[in-house]
Amino acid sequence: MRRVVSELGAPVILVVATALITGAFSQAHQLEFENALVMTAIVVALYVFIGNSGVISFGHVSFVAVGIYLGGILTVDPQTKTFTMPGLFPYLRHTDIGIVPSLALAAAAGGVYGLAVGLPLMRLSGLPAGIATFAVLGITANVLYYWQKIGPTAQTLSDIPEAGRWTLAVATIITIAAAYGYQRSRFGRMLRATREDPAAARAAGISVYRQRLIAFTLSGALAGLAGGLYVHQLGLIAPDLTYLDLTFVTLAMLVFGGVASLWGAVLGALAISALNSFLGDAENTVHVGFRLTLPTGTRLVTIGAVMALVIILRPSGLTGGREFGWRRR
Amino acid sequence: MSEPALALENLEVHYAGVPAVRGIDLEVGEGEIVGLVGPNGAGKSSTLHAVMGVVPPAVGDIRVRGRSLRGFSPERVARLGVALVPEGRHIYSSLTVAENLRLGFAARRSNDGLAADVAWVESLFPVVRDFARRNAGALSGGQQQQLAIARALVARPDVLLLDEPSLGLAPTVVETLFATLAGIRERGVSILLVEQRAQMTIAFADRTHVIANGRLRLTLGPGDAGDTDKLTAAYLS
Repeated sequence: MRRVVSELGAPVILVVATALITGAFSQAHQLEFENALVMTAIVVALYVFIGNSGVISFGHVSFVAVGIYLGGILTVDPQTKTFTMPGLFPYLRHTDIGIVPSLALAAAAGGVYGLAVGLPLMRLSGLPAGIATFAVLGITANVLYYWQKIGPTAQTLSDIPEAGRWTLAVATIITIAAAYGYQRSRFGRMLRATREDPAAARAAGISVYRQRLIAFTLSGALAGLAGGLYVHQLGLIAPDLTYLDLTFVTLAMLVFGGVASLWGAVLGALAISALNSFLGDAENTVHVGFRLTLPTGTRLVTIGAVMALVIILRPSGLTGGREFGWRRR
Repeated sequence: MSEPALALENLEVHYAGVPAVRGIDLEVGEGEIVGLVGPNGAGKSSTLHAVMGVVPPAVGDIRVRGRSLRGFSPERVARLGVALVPEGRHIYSSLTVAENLRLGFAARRSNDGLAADVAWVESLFPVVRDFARRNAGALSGGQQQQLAIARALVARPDVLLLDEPSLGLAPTVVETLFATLAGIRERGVSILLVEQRAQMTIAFADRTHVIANGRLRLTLGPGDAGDTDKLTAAYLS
């Protein structure tokens, strides 16, 4: 019980704290804090599969994209859609279901897509798995860019209703709780056994394929939900929002925090978001006891350097792949 | 006459066409302990891997209580009541001892009697209870071996395959381990014991086959443990 309190409590408190201090800042900063919550949800979704299975996926932003497009388009006023996206499927064009139902639908769609992709791909491990999931990302991104029946393609769609920070925080906490519940379940335990030693796990009666597929589907659903959050945080859908940049930023957050723990996923997402936000400010002058003005471009260079440094000094990330705990086992 | 718990019939295993096991016939009856000893590269581990479905048999058949395992995946073989304790133990070192043990439940055919089985395993190997919350990687080699066997036993297998359980263990620890195996057999579990420690195995098992170059050369009973000439001849053949 104490273990659950500290392991689940610590990431949840961090998310609540982020949401709380958001109110103390200016409008521009609020957006960055809200974005940090969304990134946390995406990274936790990634973690559910990558962290527990030890298999890399470059394709998860596909599921985020499904959430973004479905969650965004189904909350825009139908009249607006008739003007801006006349080619849309009738259902998408005529329907406006509100933010919370759209999040549920985004999660469901992400899960279905995850299952469909996982069925053929979960037989793969290592580099082939990375390449195959990357191919899925490429296909998804290009379909979204060109197919006018499902979205704004190369246009930017704005006027998407925005969710408040507490909606974002609560949904992020639900994501974290789902990830924790999964990892403590027998399914999570079996998947981590396959990560540690696939041969021993199979000899113990565990189907590597089935356990990976379960995690991939759950991970897809959580990524879909996170996509729904993202679109309601940004208030718009822009082309290439869901391609390489988001893929690598979220993977870097996960690696930075520590791939093998939920605490690492949450910490990595919030730490990189905070650093990103601070350096962005510093490029436009910030007061930290003195005036600090960094040359433009410092932000990305510094983040890259910090990440390289962490990976060299602590290859298993800031948390070393451990959950939060007072005692070290 | 009922079917033996495990039967290998003319088993051959090839790696990329090169034979490692060249036609083995072997039976393990219910509650029997059968030893399989031989020099490195003789085909001992390959035999166990073939039973478990890790490598497919090139020729021949493997039967568990008369049922053929040909073409079955390792997880399916495990759920039919065969458990392998692999060489080098293969515990999940970053998980706790308790988590390692619970992962053994995956291959159980029924959860009836689960608590009793866990209690039995804990009485055989108190280490799994005493260090339940510790990371398995922090255990000593002997303790890890006990955990690996405990994990196999909570699946309640009919047939237990042990691949060099004494490897890297101190002689006194090995004696304790063998004594425990005798206790496991009393529950009706059939054991195929692959070992490098030939004389100890011959003295302990109901019968021991000597394998060299992929073929069974000799079968010895406990009375033959002192007969080193026969054994040496078989090893060198």
